[in-house]
Amino acid sequence: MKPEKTKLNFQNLNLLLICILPVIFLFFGIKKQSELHEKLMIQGIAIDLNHENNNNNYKLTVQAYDFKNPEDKNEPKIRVIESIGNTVSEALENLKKITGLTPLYSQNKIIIFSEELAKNGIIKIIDFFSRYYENRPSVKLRIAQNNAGDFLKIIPENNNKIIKASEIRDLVDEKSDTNILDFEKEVKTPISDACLMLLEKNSQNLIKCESTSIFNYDKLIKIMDKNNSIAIQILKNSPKPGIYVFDYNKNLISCKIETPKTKIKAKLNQENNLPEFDIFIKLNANLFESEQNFENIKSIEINIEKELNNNLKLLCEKVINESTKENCDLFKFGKILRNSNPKYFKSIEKDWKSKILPNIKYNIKINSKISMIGMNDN
Amino acid sequence: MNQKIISVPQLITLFMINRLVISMTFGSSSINNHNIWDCIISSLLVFIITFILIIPMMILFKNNENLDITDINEKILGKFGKIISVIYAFYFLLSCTYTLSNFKIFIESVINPPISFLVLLTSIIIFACYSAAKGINAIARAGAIILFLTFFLLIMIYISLFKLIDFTNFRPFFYENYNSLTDGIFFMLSRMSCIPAMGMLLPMCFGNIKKGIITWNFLVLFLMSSMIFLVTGVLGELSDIKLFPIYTATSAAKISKFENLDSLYLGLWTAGIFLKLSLFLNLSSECLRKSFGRKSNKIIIFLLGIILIITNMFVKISNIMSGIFDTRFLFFMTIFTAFLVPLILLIIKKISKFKQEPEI
Repeated sequence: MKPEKTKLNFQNLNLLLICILPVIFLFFGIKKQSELHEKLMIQGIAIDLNHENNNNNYKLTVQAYDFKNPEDKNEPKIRVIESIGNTVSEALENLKKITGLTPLYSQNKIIIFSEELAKNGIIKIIDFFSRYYENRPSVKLRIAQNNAGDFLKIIPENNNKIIKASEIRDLVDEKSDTNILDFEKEVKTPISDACLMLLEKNSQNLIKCESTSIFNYDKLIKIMDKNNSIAIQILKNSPKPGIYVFDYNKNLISCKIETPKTKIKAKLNQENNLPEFDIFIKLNANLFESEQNFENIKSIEINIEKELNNNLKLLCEKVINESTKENCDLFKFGKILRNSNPKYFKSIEKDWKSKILPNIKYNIKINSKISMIGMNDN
Repeated sequence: MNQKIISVPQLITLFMINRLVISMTFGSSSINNHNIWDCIISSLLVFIITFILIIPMMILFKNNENLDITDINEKILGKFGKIISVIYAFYFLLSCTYTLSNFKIFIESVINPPISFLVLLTSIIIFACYSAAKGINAIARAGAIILFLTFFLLIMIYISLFKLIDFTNFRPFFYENYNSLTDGIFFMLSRMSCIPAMGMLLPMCFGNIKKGIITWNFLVLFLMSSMIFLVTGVLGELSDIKLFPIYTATSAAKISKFENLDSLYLGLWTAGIFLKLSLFLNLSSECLRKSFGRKSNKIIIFLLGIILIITNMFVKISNIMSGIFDTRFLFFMTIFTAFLVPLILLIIKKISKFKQEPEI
């Protein structure tokens, strides 16, 4: 008698899969995975140029959570580690050798570049962080006045706890902040440029982040002070440019500028064949503080608005002049011109930043609306 | 003879998810590094061309309502028809391989997970084979669940990206040249695997098919053009250098306290890949089953699964746009299976009918 052939019964496939599935998942379990306490959870990275021993390499300062040696039951220890390498990736790799822990970059909040490094160009480093799979493109970028590493080690005088990287990040309103992707977008477009907020610290070890560093391609070329930064934010349509203090008849008035709506229109001057831009800015200003009585202010509100408009107009003009003089297109004039007059722009595209941009003409119109929170409109 | 086992909405669901898998990986690398913004015009033209391409398939189906393309091949072309059916099977398998190759590039160059690609590949193919073996009806039901999730996740992604749009990023159309327009059309048409799939699925479908196909084509147009619009608006010129621009855009997007929306993208895409593999493995196996006169397609499905694993193990990232994945080859294959074969079958049928008509 021939033995009966056993036929593979696919009706029992369900059972087969139910048996196979747990086995597959068991394989994930037997693979060696590093535990949380074996990882160094990076919170912030500061990058400086290292000139020690006549070397010109990178010095990385990293603020990270160390779960292996917790400070107390509730909080992991914050460690600041320094590492040196010929490239940023090498310096990051060295972190593992120094700490014995595996760095985890996905939790990183901020990358700080030193002013010196930024003046030499940062696109190589940005490119690394943009492509490195563990790093997120939403990580915020800052420039540090002098040494970048110092900002991740600051312990304020009145507090013995180190300032966390997340606290440094939160100094700037999220919607007005620049992340890796935003920076890359502007820098990798040959007709536009980017800017980054500048970290400064005072004698009491307090950090402020009010000035703006402007870039030509990937190189820092100029630093704009607080008031100029407000103008930059207004022109860039940032929702919260900040508090602007101005003088009105020898009275200091402080107002919070919010929700600016900036529209830029390009046109071509037929006489000199150069582009002109009409800039319309509409914004709200919440009056918070004044040396004068608020009831008196109410009666002269229109005059204050005029004064605010004039001041902001001067600031915006100054910012545009200074940036365009440095061949830096912060406010996307090139893109606006290209979109409105592609034929003309194509003919001048190569010379846009070097020859045309510094000579553009523009008219700014500002229409601000002052409001006083808590005061009756009538 | 085929039984009517899926409804028109189920058919649209399957095709929409299939198209989503393609659309989500669309980038300038797909169109020889040209500007993807111009491809919004390509998608509009592809919308019109698709209607033209479908005509022979629809007429063929109208005349042979219960027969699929393999049955009609055999009926009209005899033994040669079986070879054509094998070509259909190859095309469906090729479509699966291309999708998995994209998945491989994504996993190896963007995600870099701690587990190997082989484990991921094997798991996804095992599940797809299982689903394919369960039949079209089961795949269609799974598609409905996936589409529900897709709809919800897409809305989240769209809302989050819409807030990040910068209107200065929209360049004038054809600012550099017209190459992006033609490359976009070639790319979109070469990945239009739904039309050959119609040849297999329409006879199993009940309901108003014409209305269904028009709706599907409109949805494809919306999906493709909205993705191009969002990516260009958010990334601008950066979209021209990113490998997976839609993924890059979602990785920086957030809604309220929800961030890291790229994980939604990943979930959405993986679910789509699973469904596409299931559907095309099933269709490929059906073509082979009918060509070789077998009763069951289940063993064929698992053999095809093994072939998929082996081929994708050896696909190199550098080869993704060349050889069998070259847009020109895929375009030829798609036009051949979607348009030429049905057209030739129609012509032969017409000629034979004409010859049979008695002279008066």
